[in-house]
Amino acid sequence: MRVADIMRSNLKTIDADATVADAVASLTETGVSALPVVDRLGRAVGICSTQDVLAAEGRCQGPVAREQLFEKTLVLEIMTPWPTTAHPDEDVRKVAGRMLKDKVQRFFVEEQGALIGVISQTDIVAAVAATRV
Amino acid sequence: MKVADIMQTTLETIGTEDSVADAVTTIAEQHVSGLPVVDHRGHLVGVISSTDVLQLLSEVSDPERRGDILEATLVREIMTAKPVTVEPDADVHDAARQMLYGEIHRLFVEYDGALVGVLSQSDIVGAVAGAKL
Repeated sequence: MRVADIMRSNLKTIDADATVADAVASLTETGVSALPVVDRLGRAVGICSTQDVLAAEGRCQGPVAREQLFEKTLVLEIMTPWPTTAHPDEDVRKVAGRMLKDKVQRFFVEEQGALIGVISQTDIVAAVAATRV
Repeated sequence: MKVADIMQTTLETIGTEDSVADAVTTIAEQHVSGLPVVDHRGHLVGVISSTDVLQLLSEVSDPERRGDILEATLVREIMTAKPVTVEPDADVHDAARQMLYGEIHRLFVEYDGALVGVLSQSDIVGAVAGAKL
């Protein structure tokens, strides 16, 4: 099975210069655990996950720092810079192994430099549930 | 393949009366997306995830209050009660289906009423990578 067979292609993104508060609102509204981060030209530059937000939250010393984090800190500052990607033709088993090795929940799928989808651990579990893997 | 073959048996837990700030610290330190919540007798009563924490933060409109909401809120106030459990001898494909239908990232494994492990999406992805499924 190839990545393209189970990846999702409808992606909600967030701007790199949006605030952390914006990211929290977007993450909770869309119910996803991570958003691709794009620059002003629409190019993908990173990923902002619930884990990234909580890790930044955990580094805050006290309420003032936490307020600062939400209102003044940009997504760019807490995101994980552009991570390893997958290719649509890659074998799902190989990608599964890479996800665990890199300790990530998902890979963005790129083809010729363009972001075309995302494949997450949930997509792989779905394939198992459907006994396609 | 059975759940017991790939579940994790080392579990970090959090108490119902602990603060959400404590839960955030543990979630960040352990690099997990959620924690089982246990009562004073050690029985599993809920689960608190990074999404639950972000939901709490997103509901606070006053930026100043957002600073101390994590210390002021108890785990039991925002946890998801009665988490979905699975038995150790359940089939992994069935467990994968339970995860998808419940839209959850982990199933707690109970045997005779005792919490004996957790099966996460990563455990299933690991089995796929190792060609065990």
